[in-house]
Amino acid sequence: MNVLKRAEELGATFADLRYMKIKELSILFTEDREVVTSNGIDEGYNLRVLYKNNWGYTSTTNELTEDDVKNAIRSAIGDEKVNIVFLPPKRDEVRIKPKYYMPSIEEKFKDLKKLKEELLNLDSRVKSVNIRYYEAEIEKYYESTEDREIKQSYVISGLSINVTARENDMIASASYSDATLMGYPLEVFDLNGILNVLKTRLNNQFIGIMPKAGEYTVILAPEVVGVFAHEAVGHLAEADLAVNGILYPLRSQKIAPEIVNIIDSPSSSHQSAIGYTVYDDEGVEGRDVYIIKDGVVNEFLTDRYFSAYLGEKPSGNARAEDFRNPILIRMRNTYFAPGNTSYEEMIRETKDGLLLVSTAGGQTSPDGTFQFGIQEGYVIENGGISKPLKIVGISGYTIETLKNVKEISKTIEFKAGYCGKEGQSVPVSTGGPYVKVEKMKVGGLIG
Amino acid sequence: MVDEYAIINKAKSLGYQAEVYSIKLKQVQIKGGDQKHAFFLSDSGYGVRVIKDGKMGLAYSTRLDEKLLDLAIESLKPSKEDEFNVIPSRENVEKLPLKYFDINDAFDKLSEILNSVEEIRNIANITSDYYEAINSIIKVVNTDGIDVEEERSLVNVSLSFVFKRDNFVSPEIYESISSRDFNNLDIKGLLERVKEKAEIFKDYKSVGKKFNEVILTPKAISTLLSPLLSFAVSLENGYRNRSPLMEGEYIKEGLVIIDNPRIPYAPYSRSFDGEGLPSKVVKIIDTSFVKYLSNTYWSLRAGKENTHSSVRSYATLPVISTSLVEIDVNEKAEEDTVVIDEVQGVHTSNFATGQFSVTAPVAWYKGVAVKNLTLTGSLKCMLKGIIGSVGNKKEIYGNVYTYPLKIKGINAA
Repeated sequence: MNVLKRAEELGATFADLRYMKIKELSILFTEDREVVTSNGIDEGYNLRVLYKNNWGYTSTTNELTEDDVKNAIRSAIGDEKVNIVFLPPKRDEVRIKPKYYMPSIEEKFKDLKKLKEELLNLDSRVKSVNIRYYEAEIEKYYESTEDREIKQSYVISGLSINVTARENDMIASASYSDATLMGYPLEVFDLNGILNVLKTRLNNQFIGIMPKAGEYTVILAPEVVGVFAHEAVGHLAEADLAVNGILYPLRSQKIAPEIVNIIDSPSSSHQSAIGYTVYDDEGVEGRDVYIIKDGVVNEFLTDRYFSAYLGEKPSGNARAEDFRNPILIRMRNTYFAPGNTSYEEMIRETKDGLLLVSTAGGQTSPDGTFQFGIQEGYVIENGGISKPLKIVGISGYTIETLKNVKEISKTIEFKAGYCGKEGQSVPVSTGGPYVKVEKMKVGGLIG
Repeated sequence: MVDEYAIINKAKSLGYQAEVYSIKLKQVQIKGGDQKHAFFLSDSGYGVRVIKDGKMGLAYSTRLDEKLLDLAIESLKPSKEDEFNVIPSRENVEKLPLKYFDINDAFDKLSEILNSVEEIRNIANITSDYYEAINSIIKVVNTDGIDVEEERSLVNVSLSFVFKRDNFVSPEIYESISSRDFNNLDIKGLLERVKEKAEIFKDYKSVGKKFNEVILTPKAISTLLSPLLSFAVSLENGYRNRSPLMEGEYIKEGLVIIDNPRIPYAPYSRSFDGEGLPSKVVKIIDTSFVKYLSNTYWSLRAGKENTHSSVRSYATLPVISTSLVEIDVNEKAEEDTVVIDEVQGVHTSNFATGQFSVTAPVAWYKGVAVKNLTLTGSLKCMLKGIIGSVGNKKEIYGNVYTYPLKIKGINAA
C-alpha cells in the first residue's frame, strides 16, 4: 500500500515516511571475558502526517497498514498551529563508503585481545579493563508527499575503553572513547596514542593534586572546547529550547569577543565527525549554522516547523534516534572555530592557571548554566605545565564564559560522541581549538 | 511458523543451551507544546542467547525467523570459553498483577491528564511535556525449563519547565511521575510540585555560605545517590574491584536499603528478572553492607547467592541492575538546611570510587531558590552521613522509594 497517498486521501496536507534498518554488532572484552554482547538487526517504519495543521505519528516494526495510517491521522491532536516549510521534489542517494576495511569477527577478536593485553600491562596497578567495540550499519530511507525520496547509508563504528587501577584503598579510573564513519576503528585511530593517554590519566589520578575550589584562568583543550560548544552553546541554540531560553532574546546581540565563532555543520572531513547529516530525518538538506558569528548571536538550529516559525532557512537539524521516536531538533558536528594564537604561546603567557584536557561528559540547562567533569588536567605555573590534577568538575554560565574568552588557537580537533535529549540519543561530534578563558569556576576534587 | 519454542527445540537438537527473550509492546505517547501530537508505537523484538562448551553467543531481531539462531551460533564461535556461562534452570515464579489498564483505553486517559496540566501553563513555561502509556508482554523461554510470560502496563508523565520574568530565566526543572496503574498516578501532587517551585523561584540568589549538611529530596536521591549506588552494589563491579563498597562494611546504624521489585504498582516491578528467574526482595544494606546484587553469571563466578537482578533488552545480554531502591532510616531530622532537588552532571562522576562533583540547579534555602551551588562528595560519605529522614512522606520517585534524607559529609558551596 502507498501509505503517503492513503494519508493524503484521508485528508493529510503533508506526510512523510521514514524507514530505518540498523545492523549492529557489539563486542565486550574485559580482563577475563571476551563476548559478543549485541548482534542483530533493528528494523521499522515511521509515518508522520500533517492533518488539520497538527502532527500525527505512528511507528511499527511491521509493514505499515491501513490501520497505521488511520492511527497517524487519529494522533494529530494539537491546536492546529503547525505550519512548516515545504520543499521541492528531489531524489538522491548518499552512500558513505568506509576507507578502512572491516575485518571478520574473528580478526576483530584477535585485535581486541591484543589491545586488552596491552591495557592490562599499562601499569601494575591495573585491576580491570572494559573494551567495547561496536559497529552499526545504518540504512535510511525517506519519502514525502512532496515527492522527495532520499536514501542514505553509512557505518558508524567505535571503541570505548575504561581502565581501573587500585593501590591499597585508592581507586583510579581512566576512559577513552571515539567513533568514526571511516571504517575499522582499530585502524582509523592511533592505538599507541590511546594507550599513552590512558596511562597518563590513570597515573595522574594517583599523583594528582586537588585544586582549591574557585575561579581560575583556564586553557581549555580541543576536547573540552568541543564539549563546551555542544553543551553550553549548541543546546541553547536548538530552536525548541532557545525560544524558552536565554539565547533567543539575545539574537543579533554581541555576547562574546569577535574572535568567537561557533558552528554546527552537517559534515566534516575529520575522522571523528560522526554527526554527518547530509539530509536530516525530515529530508532537509543540511547546511552550516553559524550560531555565534564574530561574537554575535546569529541563528538557531531548526526543523521544518521552527524554520517557518523563526523565518530562517531550513538547516537540516531534525533528527530522530530511530523509527520508534519522533523528530527533535538536534546538533550534528558542533565546533568552536579556530583563531590565530598558538597553543605554546598561550601556555607561555599564563602565569597561574589550569590546563583542562579531557572531559568526562557534561550537562547544560536553558538558563545557560553548564557543568562538565574533567578527567585530565594540569596546573599551569609561570608559563609552564606543572602538576597533574585529580578529576575535577567545572561549571559556569555560558554567556559569562564566552565574554571571558581571551585567546583561541589555530588548530582544531574533533571528538565523536552521543548526545541525549528527551530520551533520544543521536551520534554527534564536537570540536574546537585551545581556548583561553578567564574566571572559570572549578569545583574541586571528585576523584 | 517460527516461534520461540521452534528456536529452542532446534538449538537443543544441535546440542546448545539456548534462551529466547522477547518483548512485544504497544505504546501511546502524547507530546504537548508547540508541535503537540500523539504517537502510536507497535514494537517487538527477540533476543536469542546460546551457550555450548562455555562459549556464549547472542543475536536479536525485530522479526523472529530461523536465521536468528544461526546468527547467535555464529557470534558464539569467536567468544572465549568460560565455565560460568550457563543458562539458568527453572524456578517457581510467583506472579504479581502488573497489568492495570488496556492500551486501547490509554489515549483518552492521557488526554485527560494533559488537559489537567493546562492549569499550570500560566505559571510555568513548559519546555517539554510527555504523557505515555505502555502495554508490554515479556517472555523468557529456555532449554532448561524456564517458560515465563507476563503482561505489564506503565504510565509516565514528565514535564520540563522554566520560569521566565523580564530577562530572568530559571534553570530548567524536571518533574515526573510513573506507575503501572493510572489510579496510582498522583497528578495533583505533580502539579503541586510545579506550583511550589514557582514560589521558590520568585527569588533566586547566591547565599554566600557553605553547607556541610544538605537535604536530598526523593528526586535528588533518584538522580544522584541511586545511580552511584546501583553501580556500587553490582556483584560484577564488586568482584572486579570497581566498587567503593565491600561486603560486611559498616555503613550507618539503623539504615536499611532494599532492592524491591515486588511492589506491584511501582514502575520497576517485575515477577521475574531478565533471565526468567523469580524476583526477590533483597536487603542490600542493614546497618552494614549486606550483599551485592547478582545474576546467574556473576553469582557463579563469585560463588555468591543469585539475587535474580538481571535486567536486559532483547538486544543485549543480561546485566545486573537495581529495580526499586527502598530506603529507610530509623531517625528523624529537621528541615533546617539547604534542600537539593535536582543535580546536574551525575554522569561525570567517578563511579568506581563513587566520588562526584555536580551542580545543583534546583535547590532552596529557607524557601528561596539558591544559585551557583556545587556539591562534592562520595557515595560512601552520603550513605555514612545520613542523619535521618525528613517529614512524613515516603514516595516513589524514579527508581527510589524514600523520604527526603538529611545528610552530612557532602560539601555544598
